[in-house]
Amino acid sequence: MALCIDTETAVMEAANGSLGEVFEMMVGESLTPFGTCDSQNPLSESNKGNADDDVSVVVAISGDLNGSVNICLDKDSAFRWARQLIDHETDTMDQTVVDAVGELGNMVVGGTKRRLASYNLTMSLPSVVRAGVECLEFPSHIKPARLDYQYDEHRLAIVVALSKQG
Amino acid sequence: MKVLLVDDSGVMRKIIARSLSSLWIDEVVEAGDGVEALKAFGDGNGFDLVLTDWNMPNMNGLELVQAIRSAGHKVPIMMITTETEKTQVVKAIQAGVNDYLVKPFDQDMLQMKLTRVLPNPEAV
Repeated sequence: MALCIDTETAVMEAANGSLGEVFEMMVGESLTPFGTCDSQNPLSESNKGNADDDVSVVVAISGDLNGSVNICLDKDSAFRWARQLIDHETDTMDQTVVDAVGELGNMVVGGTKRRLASYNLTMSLPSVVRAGVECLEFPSHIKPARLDYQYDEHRLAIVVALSKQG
Repeated sequence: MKVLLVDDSGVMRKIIARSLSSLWIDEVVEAGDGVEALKAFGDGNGFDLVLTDWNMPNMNGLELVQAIRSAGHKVPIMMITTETEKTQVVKAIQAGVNDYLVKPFDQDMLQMKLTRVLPNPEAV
């Protein structure tokens, strides 16, 4: 069952608040969402990025809401995050960058879950995939919602793809 | 001062170890899960503090705390986790956790908690 407007708003506010908190606390950066995309078709062609070396962290959610929360970064955002978080300097998508991005997903979704305490939710361990937001596909009964952020001169998106139990 | 740092995320261990390095810690021993941690902990092994994540493979943080406490060790234990559900926090405290830090955290918050839970270096 698709999310009602109130639930979708609560989830997006929770995800936005959590993402902001993680960046503020862990690396001292303020993130501001610069927009949402086409609400009728959040991953329509016009909204898809064109980077070919992006990375996404996927955390599955189950319980009262089911689906996933996905954080998608271009490769330079991923390198910047790893550098700021653990002083890891690199320009290749090595295991340390993948681990740092996985930890980003873990903390953001953990914080989202905490903000949605009235829902009974369980989160999976994060999976990191070498693909950007343009590669995300969801079942037809799920209508994903997306927020985009500027991270220095780079980009970052959070895509929430959840349906309601029952 | 010797600290046992337990987290399945190498990134998180690195973040915490960086904070520890600015305190009066002589030695940090890292473990990736509860099983590794128990092996390192042995019969106390001179550890002054255990910092542990909750959700880990093989043996989770709660099981680790229970194992240490049931062996009669009084070493301070701090849990660093995204787990904030009230019943879970109560479980951790009942198991013998001395303090609790929720991820994400900033360096100041971590250091404040560490300062509170670590034995006073002047008294050691």
